Amino acid sequence: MSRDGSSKKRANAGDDNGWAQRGGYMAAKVSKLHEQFHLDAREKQKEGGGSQIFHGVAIYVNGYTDPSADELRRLMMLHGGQFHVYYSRSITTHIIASNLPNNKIKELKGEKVVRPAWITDSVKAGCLLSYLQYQLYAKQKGLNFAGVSLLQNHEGAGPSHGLPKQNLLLNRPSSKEAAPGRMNGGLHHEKTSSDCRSTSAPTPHHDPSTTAADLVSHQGPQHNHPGTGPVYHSNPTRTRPLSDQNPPVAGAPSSKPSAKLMVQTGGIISEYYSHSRFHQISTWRIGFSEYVNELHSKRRTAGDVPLPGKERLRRCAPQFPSQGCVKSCILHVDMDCFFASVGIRDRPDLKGKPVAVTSNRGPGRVALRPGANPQLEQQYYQRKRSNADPGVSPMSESREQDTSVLSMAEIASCSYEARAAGVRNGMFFGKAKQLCPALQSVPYDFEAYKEVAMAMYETLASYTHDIEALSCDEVLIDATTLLLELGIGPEDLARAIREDIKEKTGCSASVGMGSNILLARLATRKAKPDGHYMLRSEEVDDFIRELSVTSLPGVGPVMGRKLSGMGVKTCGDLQHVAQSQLQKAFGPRTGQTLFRFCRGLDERLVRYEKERKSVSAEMNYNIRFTGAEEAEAFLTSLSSEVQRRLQEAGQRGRRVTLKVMVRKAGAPAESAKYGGHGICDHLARTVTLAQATDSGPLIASAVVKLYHAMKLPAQELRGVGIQVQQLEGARSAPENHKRSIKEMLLGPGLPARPPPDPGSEQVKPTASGLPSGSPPLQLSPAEPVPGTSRDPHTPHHARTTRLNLSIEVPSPSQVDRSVLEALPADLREQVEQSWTRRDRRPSNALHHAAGPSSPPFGSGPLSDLLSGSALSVRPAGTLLLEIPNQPGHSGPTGIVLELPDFSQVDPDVFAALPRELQDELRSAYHRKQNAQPQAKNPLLQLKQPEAGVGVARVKRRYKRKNAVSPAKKVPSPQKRHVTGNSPAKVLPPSMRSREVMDNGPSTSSLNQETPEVLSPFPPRAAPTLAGASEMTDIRTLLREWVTSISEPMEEDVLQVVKYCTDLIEDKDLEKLDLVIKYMKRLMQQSEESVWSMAFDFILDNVQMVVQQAYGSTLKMA
Amino acid sequence: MLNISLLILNFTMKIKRYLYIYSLTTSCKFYRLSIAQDLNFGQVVADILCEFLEVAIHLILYVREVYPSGIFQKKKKYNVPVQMSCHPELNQYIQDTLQCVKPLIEKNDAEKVAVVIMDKEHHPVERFVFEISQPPLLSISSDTLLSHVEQLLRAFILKISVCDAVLNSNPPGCSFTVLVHTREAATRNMEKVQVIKDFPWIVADEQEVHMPEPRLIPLKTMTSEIVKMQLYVEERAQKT
Repeated sequence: MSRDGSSKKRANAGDDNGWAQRGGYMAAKVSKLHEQFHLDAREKQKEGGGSQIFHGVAIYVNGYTDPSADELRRLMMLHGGQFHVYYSRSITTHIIASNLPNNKIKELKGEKVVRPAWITDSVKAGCLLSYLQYQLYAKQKGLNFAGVSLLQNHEGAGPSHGLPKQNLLLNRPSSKEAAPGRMNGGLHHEKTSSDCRSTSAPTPHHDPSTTAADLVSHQGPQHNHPGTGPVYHSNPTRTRPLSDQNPPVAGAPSSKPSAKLMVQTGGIISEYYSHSRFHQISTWRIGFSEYVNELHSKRRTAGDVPLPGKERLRRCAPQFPSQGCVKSCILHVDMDCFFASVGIRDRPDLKGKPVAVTSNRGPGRVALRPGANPQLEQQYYQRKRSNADPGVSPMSESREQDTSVLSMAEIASCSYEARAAGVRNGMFFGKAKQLCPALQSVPYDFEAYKEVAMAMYETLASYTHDIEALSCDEVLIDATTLLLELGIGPEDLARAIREDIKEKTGCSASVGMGSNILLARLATRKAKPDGHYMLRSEEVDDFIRELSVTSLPGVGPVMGRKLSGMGVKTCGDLQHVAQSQLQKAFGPRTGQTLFRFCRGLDERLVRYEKERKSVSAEMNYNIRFTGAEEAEAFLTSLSSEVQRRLQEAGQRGRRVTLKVMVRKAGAPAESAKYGGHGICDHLARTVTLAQATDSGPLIASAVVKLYHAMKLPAQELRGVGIQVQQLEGARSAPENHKRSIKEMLLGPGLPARPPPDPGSEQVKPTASGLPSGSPPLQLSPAEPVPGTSRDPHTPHHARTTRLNLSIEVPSPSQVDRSVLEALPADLREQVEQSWTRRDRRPSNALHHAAGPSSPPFGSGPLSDLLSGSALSVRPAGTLLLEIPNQPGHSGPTGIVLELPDFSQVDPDVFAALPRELQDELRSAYHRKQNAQPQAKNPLLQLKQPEAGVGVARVKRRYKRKNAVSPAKKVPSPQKRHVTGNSPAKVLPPSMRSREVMDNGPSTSSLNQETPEVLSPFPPRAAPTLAGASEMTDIRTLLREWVTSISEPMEEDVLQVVKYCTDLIEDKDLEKLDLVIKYMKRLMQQSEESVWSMAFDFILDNVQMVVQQAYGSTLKMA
Repeated sequence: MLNISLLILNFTMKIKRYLYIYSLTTSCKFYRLSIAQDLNFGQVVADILCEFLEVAIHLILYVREVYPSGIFQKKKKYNVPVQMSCHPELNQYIQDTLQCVKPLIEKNDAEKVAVVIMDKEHHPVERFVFEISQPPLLSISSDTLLSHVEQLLRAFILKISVCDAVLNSNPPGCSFTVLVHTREAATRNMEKVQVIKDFPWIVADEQEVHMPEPRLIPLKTMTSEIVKMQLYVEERAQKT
């Protein structure tokens, strides 16, 4: 029958041709073949052993099959079936194939394509089995599977078909009417290896979607049959249609009709995110934060809207005995086992019973999937856990070796009754069921969660707007002002809130109260369930001493283990550990936090708005790639998801991190949890882009490069995430890059401001509540964030942060006495205090050169400055540019520019300058020739700060380093050689604008030239340390730092480490080497041992980064 | 010897030619636009860099005493004295190698060019790594005479000539090889296009690349408009 094979092939290859030309010859041939077959069949039947099980079945074999076409033909003969050498739509009933190319699948839509096993199994069984379970692909019907599959997108490349992991498609009954194009719907892998026969009803974890349920009901029962059952392997969410069915919460996935592939893969991810309800819940926090923000802005515009809850309280206020005013009171409102209590809200029968919210609804066991080895994973997790706590007894060994294993569905929330039985959140349902056989499972009800959470927020917002959303069921309230206003005690407020929430949502909430966030949170633990608790300041000490360290926020199992290694179990133990020791063990910041937390100190404030530090998108569920192309496509689409989020957040980021989870060597190929990632190694790679971006393709290319650099087999990936850090506001920065001087000049609303009077400006930062409507605000590239949208809120920041604001205060001699006197008494006091402090500590004011060489192009209130006191001490050869009204700065906003060599000055440009500028430049050059540069520089003194807005940020900045110069914020140091003939090119945009404003018409000649010279890619700024980038400046800075201070501040050390890391990233190892060597000399010479410790810390960190980047460490002589 | 001097002459001429063009470009904006399109900046950068690399390799071989000092001759380059080998085969090898490196640099495909000094067992003892990256947009606008670049390259040369002060001495009987670390996907093209017949790139052995306990000694970094390059040495902790 080899003839069959070849002719069949020909027919295959001919495809349409073969059918179209079906003339006399073909018809004759076909009928002849039929005859032959029947003759043969009759003979075969006579020989005995035959049957009629295939009566009415006519098969056509396509492609290579096992058993072969010959064998199948023989079987069909024996058992009463028909075998067609040529496919005919009208008479062939089944097509037998084990592998079909895509175009074939399309062509054969509506036909029954069955795997050969159907024949052999039927023969074995002695009767005609249902072909359904043997179908090769699924023709999903209707809405649910209109979608797209990752694999299919690569059909052109088509390598997936050759791989052992085949792309088999499930079929569903009654699917003949499936619309065209729907067929290549679901992504279904199947291992064809024989060991994967025992399969399970798919239990789509985490997503009780209708799709999954459909599949279960259709195929569930049949799958348990040995030798059947394709493994349903895809994320149900992926296969959903792109456009419809989007829940209202998440943004609609972006889909364009063009660029099909992009949309398809991109669709999968935004799909995933728009459907993954867990993702939605996690984003709710942001949503609620926004809700609170909205409330605030509404309030600001509409004036004081009466808060209903507050009014009601005010009315009943006399009933409450006033307890005197509390200094500060934070309320921490937390719903009691949120998911569980919402789940049983409408089911009174479950009240008082152990209840767990989980996706698993069965008895807690599921059938074992092939390739999975839950025992191994269990052991792995157990080992991990027992490392943490050696006392843990090994869990009941998985005695059951049958096909069913414990359900790996996680418990999202469980009721207090269940908790009493030892069930914990996050536990696998199977194990929980063992612990508590009476445990009832409740399905997820995302709509209800949303409804309840919303109701809770609305309730709280009716009392006050000082709310920080922590999660969908957790809120911090700063009740200080509210309590003061109403004159009631916190407990009364808590009671009122709880009653209100209970009434409106039907779920109970607990309220913890304390004088700061930490105490409020700790008090909540005591308040639970359904209660409130006020942690009074006098109890704090006793309370916290008893507390286990792991109950502190931020102390997880890992840190807890580390601490118990240090012999620390409770906060009381922790109080005995020195801060320096903690900082050494956990890093400067965490160490300090721990040190403070264990004393019940927490200076965080309730913020209703959080600055985002990073934007990321991750998927670690159901990631199974077959090749690098798929991984790349996935990364690309994940990048567009990141892009969407960046744009949503209005941010651009510079640092892109690719995080991957890779199957740990030796871990089972298939995770025990359905679609889960199993045991993984977590890897991350980071790259810093030349400029901040929110463009998906840019991020994608960076990430793909990182991915390739990691050299990981795509098959082993189990999770992928992209994170973008170093965010800056998208609105201001990019515009500035593009905006030419001309535009700025012509731009409306930029009135030239006269240089501010230093005397009157000085004090403004301390009188911080004043909003300054500073026009050049939008021009400043260094301050990307202050969009107008934020402005309404900033006074709030200012108010709350005022008291512990540390601003570098100008030296007494520089302050206008009359202004000082005009200040409120408490502010004056602060200013004066800081002077006394200043005297004690030598100022390490440093010289900040914004750039080694900037063009001979100074402007601004130069003459003011030159005649001022700064002149005598400023290093020669520098120009000071002053930028007024830079928001967020209370420090000196002048920028010192080093003059380029006189020879480099373009005479034309020089001539174009206004006369006074020319004079200043000349005198500056004159000074340069004569004077010696001086190290000390009083630039730090407040020269003109007018920082009404964004004081909170100033605080942060100044905490870090009192020598931080604003120059640092300017995207500055151009390299010396960049000295172009166009000065505007080298000037930072802010200065450019300033320059235009000040120079007025005289710059018109420049304006024609500069826009063309502006490079679309602004050269990347060299790393700076406190504004300094030249080696000499760095040396000076370091020397002063080490010599003037006896003990380095952690922030400073970190700043240096950051600088060194930047140098490595900037591929400037030479400078790094010099800096390190210089520090080594300085610090190891220092008498204080802390300095050599600091150096060791820096060196360790630097070596680590070098090791990462270069695979080797710096040679330290 | 003739070969080398000719070569140097050749390079100098090239530089002059470019300089001529650039000085032209800056004087007239209109010209610059049109010329910028015709001129392949990558090629210019590659020429400059390969010339520099040739000088550097010779100097490294001299300074690190890979070959007896007798085969080296003093020459002047970048206005400083340099040592160049006058062994024809060695020179040919270096030239050929750089000829093959050039297209990579042109396309910004070469990430690192490493001169590896290996001991008798062909285990690397030292690696002089030139890490090269080009700015996204090449523009030679201000430094018309490239004098600044020349100064920077001179600094490299000077640094190489004194690098033996910071390095431990090598065991006797060393040899050297040149490795190129390409950026992704460059290798595929490399196999297709052989610049010099029968002088193909081959993937380096693990043995040639792996260095136990490497120590990193940064030598020099330059940042210019046309190229950003840094040179560091990776040294095996135990050389003998």
